[in-house]
Amino acid sequence: MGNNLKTGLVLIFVLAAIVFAGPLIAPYDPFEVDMSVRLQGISLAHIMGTDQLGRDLFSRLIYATGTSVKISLVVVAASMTIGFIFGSVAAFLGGAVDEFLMRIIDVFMAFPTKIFTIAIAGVLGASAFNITLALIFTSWASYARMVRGCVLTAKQLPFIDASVALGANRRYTIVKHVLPSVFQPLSTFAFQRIAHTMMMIVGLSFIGLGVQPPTPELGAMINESKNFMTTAPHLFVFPGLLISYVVFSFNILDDSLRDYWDPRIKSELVL
Amino acid sequence: MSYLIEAKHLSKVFKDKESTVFKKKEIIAVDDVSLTINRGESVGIVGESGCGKSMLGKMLVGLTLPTKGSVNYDGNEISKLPYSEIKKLRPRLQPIFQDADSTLNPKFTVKKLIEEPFVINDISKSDANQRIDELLSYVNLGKELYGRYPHEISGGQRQRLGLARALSLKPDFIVADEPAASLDSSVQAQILQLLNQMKSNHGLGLVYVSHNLRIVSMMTEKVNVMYLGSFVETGDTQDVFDNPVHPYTKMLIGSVLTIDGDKRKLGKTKVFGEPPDPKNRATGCAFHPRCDCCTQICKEERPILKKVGDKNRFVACHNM
Amino acid sequence: MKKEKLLEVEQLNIKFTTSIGDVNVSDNINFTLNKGETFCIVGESGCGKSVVALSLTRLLPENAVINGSVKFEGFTISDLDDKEFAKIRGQKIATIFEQPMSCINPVMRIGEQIAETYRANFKCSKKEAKLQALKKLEEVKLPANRYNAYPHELSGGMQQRVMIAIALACNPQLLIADEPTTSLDVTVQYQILELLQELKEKYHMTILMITHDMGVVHDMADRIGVMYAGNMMEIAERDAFFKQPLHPYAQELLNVVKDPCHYTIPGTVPNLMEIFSGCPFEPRCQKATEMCKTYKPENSVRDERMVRCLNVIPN
Repeated sequence: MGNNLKTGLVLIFVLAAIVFAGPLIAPYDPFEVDMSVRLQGISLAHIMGTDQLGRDLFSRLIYATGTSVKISLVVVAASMTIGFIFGSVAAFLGGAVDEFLMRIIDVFMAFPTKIFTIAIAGVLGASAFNITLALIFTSWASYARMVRGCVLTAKQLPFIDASVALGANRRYTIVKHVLPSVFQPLSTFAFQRIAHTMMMIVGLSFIGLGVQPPTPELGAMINESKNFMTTAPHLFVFPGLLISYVVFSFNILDDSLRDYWDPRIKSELVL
Repeated sequence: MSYLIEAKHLSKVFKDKESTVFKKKEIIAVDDVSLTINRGESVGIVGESGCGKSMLGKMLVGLTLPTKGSVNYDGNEISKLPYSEIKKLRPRLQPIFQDADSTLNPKFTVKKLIEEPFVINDISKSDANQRIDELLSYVNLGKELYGRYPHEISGGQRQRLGLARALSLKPDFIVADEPAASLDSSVQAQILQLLNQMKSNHGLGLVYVSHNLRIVSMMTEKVNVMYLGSFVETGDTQDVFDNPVHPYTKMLIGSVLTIDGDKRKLGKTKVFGEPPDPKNRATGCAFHPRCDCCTQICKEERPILKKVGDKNRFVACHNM
Repeated sequence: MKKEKLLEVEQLNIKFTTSIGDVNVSDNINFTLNKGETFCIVGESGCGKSVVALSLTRLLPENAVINGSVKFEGFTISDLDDKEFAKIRGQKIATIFEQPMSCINPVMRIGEQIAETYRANFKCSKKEAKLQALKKLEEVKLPANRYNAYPHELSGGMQQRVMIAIALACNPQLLIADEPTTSLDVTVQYQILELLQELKEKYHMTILMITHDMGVVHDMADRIGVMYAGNMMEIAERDAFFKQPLHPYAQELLNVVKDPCHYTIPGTVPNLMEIFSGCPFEPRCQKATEMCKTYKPENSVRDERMVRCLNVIPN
């Protein structure tokens, strides 16, 4: 196991703790307003200070990370599932079905993601649920395309012919040879997309189209802090750092997993 | 007597990627080819790259169905059998591929690869293990390789592993597609000898597909020279090599550099032109643009295989 | 008659340093190239033949440690600095490789690439360079209308011709050909080799050819060097070599090539990470004695042939 992978796993583990055990760690209720301690700096009581309504920033950040990461996980998992089904059905059935499904995918690929999400938020109203839907709606097509590509390539690999020649039936080749070769690029792609999706959610919330205050969310928090940029810089520095942290940990994990899964690269790494 | 394999008028046509709804383009990879193989006989198919020899090999073992024509195995037409029968038949017809590396799943270990044929065919563990021991000693591979991945063993070992897999189910017919092309001469020799041994010990039919004419001349009893999807000359190997009739056969044989004899061969034969593109087939005889004895009829009319001499020789050429 | 020497390689040692140890790819190799001859280095894959050739033009990766002296036309070029060396590499030594596509620019028209190379070496006008490039195209027997073609529009054989034209654009004295025809069809190989032969005579070039194909050696070589596991086992004139090779490895190799259905060399090619206390071929050699296990054979000369074997008695 390479050092990058170890680092990645540790980072992700810490992140998972923040996301899933957040309420246990957080010292305060993130919604509790206390105007007497408004806009305070770092202190023992509030280790990251407080915001303009006197809410504990540390607790809010923990909940906020949870919100952002959970939404992106849902988006990625859902679009991966839809994409996988669409893509593999298209590739395995081929012919007219493939042609038809691909045109549908083309239509979805043609939607400009950001503008479309903004439109949905505009029509349905800005909320966490609506941007989740909008993001799934606009992103599943790229998964489908990639799955279809991988299956088509995998189907033609000579070792599939070799096992067919040995008497393997369709199910055997799909389960033993095709799907494992699809699984790996798909999951690397998904890991990559988690970071990307999170940036989208943060961005949309920042412009006010995503998660709505007072629900803590990293982008929304940065937006709220912009009026206090000079007086209380910790209000945007900490959420900003957290965003970088999340994106970095998913990227490093995605990178090192790709190396880890490829037996060829693995032996080169030893050299 | 029935033949082990009898292929009748095989053709394989592909749709060209450039074809549109309005204009259909087709690539004819194999064009009306017939051949027969007996038990214990080895037959060579030679030609330049892109002549369709690999595709023909795939059709002979039933990996690809022909667009037209039929392949009969022991009197049964493969393409007409129900799936359950084909599945039973598959292990008897085995291909050995040129690039052993790509026919071994890179994520499987050597152990998993050698066991795969038995897993696929639901053969009991004990029977399988016994057979695997036989196979490994036959192709001279040790069990110390079990934990390795295909890219961690040498090219010769990979090719021998491929051989072991192909042999594991005791086939009676093998199509070897350039089985030794990418190997060094000493390793190549090991593979060739294994193939010969298999043929003589088990009496199997062997089709040897290659562009290396020297090896074909040593490995086979009959040879078919292929140009752009069809046979241009067929006959007994010795006879064809001693006395080639078709200009293309002459050119091919003339361009093989060997170490037999003192004299250099370069400059002795007229060799020109590139291997043809199946998309732009010449009219008439496909070989005429590269032929130095081309006449008017060659440009217009397509020659068919005709018997030449009293031996088993057929040549497709107008100028005989 | 004493032949004029073009390239003299003495005591060439090359190793690659890696994190799991050194790989010795060239062990005290000596050879000379006479002007106007074709010298073929032949050996199985992994014997170090390509590395030796690439080291002459300093095209090896950074972890290669090269020791030894290389003289070109009497000058020692092995201790020139990289800038001075680049001049020699451009103007006097040219290299062609097995995969032409890896060495020609895929997005540049082939004629321009030849012209560019010519201009880089001879500092002339663009017009002049274009004329020269057209001339080179004709020399490698490509039609002039291919000047504006992109590399991917050409077949493998034609790409190899383009590569030869680029190599010729600087009128090199030495052409290093590293497996130039290995991935080509026999008919195309034949034509490319004919072309090389013709150009060699026209320009009085010297060719250093690296190959694993004895058939090619038989037809192209004037002299032959046989390499095994980083060692130059035998160097001999072509006729004498094919009549009777002196080194047991060369003998076995010829037998295998002549009759692959009955001969083999038992064993496998050794790992170059090993350090051989004796002769590297000893484990596979049928003529090996106890002595071969412990003593490393030195270069010895017999009948004007260099042989590295303890059982060949020098004279």
